[in-house]
Amino acid sequence: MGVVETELTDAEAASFAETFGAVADEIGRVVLGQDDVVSGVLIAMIAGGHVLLEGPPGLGKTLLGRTLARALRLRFHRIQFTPDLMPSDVTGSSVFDQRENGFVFHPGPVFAELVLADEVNRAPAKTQAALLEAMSDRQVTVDGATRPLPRPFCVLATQNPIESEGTYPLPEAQLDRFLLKLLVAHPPIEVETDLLGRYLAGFDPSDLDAAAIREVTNGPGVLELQRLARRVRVDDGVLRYITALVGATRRHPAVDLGASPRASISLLLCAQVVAASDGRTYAVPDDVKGLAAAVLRHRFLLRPEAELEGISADDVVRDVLRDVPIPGGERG
Amino acid sequence: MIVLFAVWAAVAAEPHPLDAEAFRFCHEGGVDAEEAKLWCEVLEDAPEDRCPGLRATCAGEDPESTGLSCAPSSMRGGGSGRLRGRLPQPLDPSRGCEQPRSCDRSGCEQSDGCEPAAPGCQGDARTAMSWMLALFVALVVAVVIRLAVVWMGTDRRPKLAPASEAYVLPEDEAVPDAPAPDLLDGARRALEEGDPGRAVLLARAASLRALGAAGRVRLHVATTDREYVRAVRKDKPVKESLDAVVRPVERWRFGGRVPDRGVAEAVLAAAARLLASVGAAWLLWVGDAAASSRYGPLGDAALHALLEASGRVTVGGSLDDLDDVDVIVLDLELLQPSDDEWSKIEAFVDSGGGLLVAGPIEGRFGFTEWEPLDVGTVWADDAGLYLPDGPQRGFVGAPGELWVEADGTGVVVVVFGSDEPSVGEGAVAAVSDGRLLENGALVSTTNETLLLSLLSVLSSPGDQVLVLDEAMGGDAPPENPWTWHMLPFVVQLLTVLGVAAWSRGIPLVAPRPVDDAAHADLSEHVEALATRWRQARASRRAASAVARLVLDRMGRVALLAAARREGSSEAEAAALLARATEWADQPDGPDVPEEDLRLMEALWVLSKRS
Repeated sequence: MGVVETELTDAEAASFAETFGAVADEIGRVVLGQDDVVSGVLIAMIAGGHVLLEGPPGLGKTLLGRTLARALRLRFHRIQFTPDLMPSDVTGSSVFDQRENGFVFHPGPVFAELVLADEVNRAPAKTQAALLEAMSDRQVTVDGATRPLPRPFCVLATQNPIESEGTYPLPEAQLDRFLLKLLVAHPPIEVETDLLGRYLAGFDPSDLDAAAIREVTNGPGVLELQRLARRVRVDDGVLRYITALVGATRRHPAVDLGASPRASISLLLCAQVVAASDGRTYAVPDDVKGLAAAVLRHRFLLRPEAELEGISADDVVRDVLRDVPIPGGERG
Repeated sequence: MIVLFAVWAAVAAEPHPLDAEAFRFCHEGGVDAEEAKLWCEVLEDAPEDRCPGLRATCAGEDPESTGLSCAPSSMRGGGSGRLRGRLPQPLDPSRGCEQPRSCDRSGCEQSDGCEPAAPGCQGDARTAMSWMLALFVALVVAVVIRLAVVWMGTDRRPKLAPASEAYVLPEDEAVPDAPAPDLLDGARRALEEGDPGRAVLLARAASLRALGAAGRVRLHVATTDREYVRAVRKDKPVKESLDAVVRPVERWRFGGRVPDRGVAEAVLAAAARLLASVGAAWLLWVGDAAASSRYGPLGDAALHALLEASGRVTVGGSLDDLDDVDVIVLDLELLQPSDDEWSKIEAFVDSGGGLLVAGPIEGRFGFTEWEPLDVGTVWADDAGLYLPDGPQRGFVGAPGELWVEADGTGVVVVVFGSDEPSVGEGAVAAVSDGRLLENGALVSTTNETLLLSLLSVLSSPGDQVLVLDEAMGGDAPPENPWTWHMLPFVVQLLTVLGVAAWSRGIPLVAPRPVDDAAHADLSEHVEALATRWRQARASRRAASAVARLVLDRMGRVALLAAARREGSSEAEAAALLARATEWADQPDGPDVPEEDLRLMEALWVLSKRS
């Protein structure tokens, strides 16, 4: 336990870190003041997961997706979720072709390597389920035919935390499908001022060509990064730390239903990517701790009375991180 | 309550006795042996019953065979020879007994004219009484708070059980609980024994312990090494050293790469740099806390006790606030003031203050040179000064009245006052060998009398004395916590907080007043919750939570009135209240979604409109 089949070499780790840093830098040139979100999205993509971005409108979530797709040379599709959106609008549908004298499948927007599902909680549950099924199985079934989705495949779903009128909150079981839930906050005022300066200088977010975003790698390159990350060594102590963290959410008094083993797996995958992005061939507890909130905050159910008292999921994660001993820590 | 606090304060304000627990080197054989043995020869000038522990240490006896006896400030005996005529007599015997002097485990001995129940022997009783009083006050405060909590009914927080007790990692992975220098020594030994892995682990532990002891980081069971590094990032040398220690360690512990000797040597060097950066004073303290404490042979606690026993008041503070200070005591071998600080000291003396200074004072107040002496073993001429191997240094070209000369090779103690132009209206007593101020020196009654005499030249009983090694050294190690005067108060607070937290799980703050804005927030909150739970299907637990919230915030009377205002009859309003109360009291009842939802919506409407 704890030892991967073929451990990453120092050279591979250095190469990984260089590529990761280059992609983050390219995105950071356009998306200002959101460094944590950028690196979170990159980590999720390389870990093979999907991201739920929660934040008010106008913070550059779409721009982030488009820039990421450009830097990684991936196909990018955006789906605006609305109450009348149908599952076939996401997955695609078969249309009768008179020339072929038969039904021809027209792939939906989900057939892209990077999909932005904007305001995912505005579509009814049936449409959400179609997307979430595609996310977990990486394939869609239409008219009895199963069609694989491209690889890599990553969904960036967004939702607005403020408005609740006319929304269909994602059930907890489906939230669990997202590797990370990242909170997108307003940038600092100086970053916002810098942003205005760029617009005055002629920056146009719809014209990424003008921004000269460099294509750092491509789809196969991302798949290679995924393979490298899986070879990062994770010590038994770190594994125990991960399971202890997740287990602690199940025992927390404010939690009705704790995080599932899928959360443990997610923490493990993320820790491996974080370690490799730091040029290391092994994961340390800090790698787990750094992303624990993003991995765990949407994976457990708070008790109603705790919610009434204003206890949030992040409070629970903070408690857990404060209570669970790290391997080799002070006795406390 | 106020009376109790006043009594407690009066008791706690008493000078702490120089009991056996403090001056252990003096009372228990073998304690601080290495440093204590430096003072063995001074015992020639000490009464037989003084410092049996030191005698045992010097004789190499078993520690258990020694008893407990007087502290160094018992002030018996007197000066001799040249000084006797001009020195004040030692303190009055009955006054001397105000400090504990001949106490053994069973009580007090009668000696030197002291009554068996001399006031000094009541120190232990006072201490015990202060502790009992502190606990009693804490208990009373806790009961009052408990009653207030019950009366106000502010128990709104959910009862949280302790989380995650089951996740304790094996102890062998934890940081060893030992002083940093010991850990570093262990690391060096491990390296010499050919175990670089253990060496780097111990070096890491030494680094963390040193930082923790210096208050630079708070060692905690859930803090990672990189978080410690980030905590000291503002101090670049320390950060770089710690980084150089923890990286190889984590590479080994988590990366499986055993460090070789070269890596281990680099880690040890970084750890040594870090320990040096954190501060030599701290290292001395953590290296051998007992030896370097204020109560060890080299400490200064006996000086403080002497000052207090002779009627002086020791004060804290700094050179920026000398208005109430009458005398400054400064050991230049421990503390070197800056030029700016010297200016303040000189101005203080010039305006009439007294200065007792030990060490290299050359260049100040007319002193020209401070040089080594070759006096001989246990030098004590008839002037009276007992120091191991004799005084090590003397003044040349000293101004003022020479109290203790060193056979023509120098001057060891000099006193001069306003007749010297360099001191203005004040007075200075200069001692060339700073060891005179150490606890070990005060084992000798001759030294004690000499020091008292110097103090009497500079000050009178009731004067305030600022001992600068303590006042200026902000980073000085703390005293033995068991002798802190504030400890009972801390115990009270902790007890109160503990009892309150244990009983109700609430923060100790006044209940929040609910104003209009808060009420609007409450309405929106309830509405949002109801909307959410309606979407996610209503449940008994959800309805119960809403009912509890509304009842807590609105109260039963307001809820009844609101229901009637909305058109309900008396009976309907009462039924709604009864249902809300039942739901609030029984959250685990069966789910009846329609009824739960109806109750939630009714309460939601009332809370929103009232």
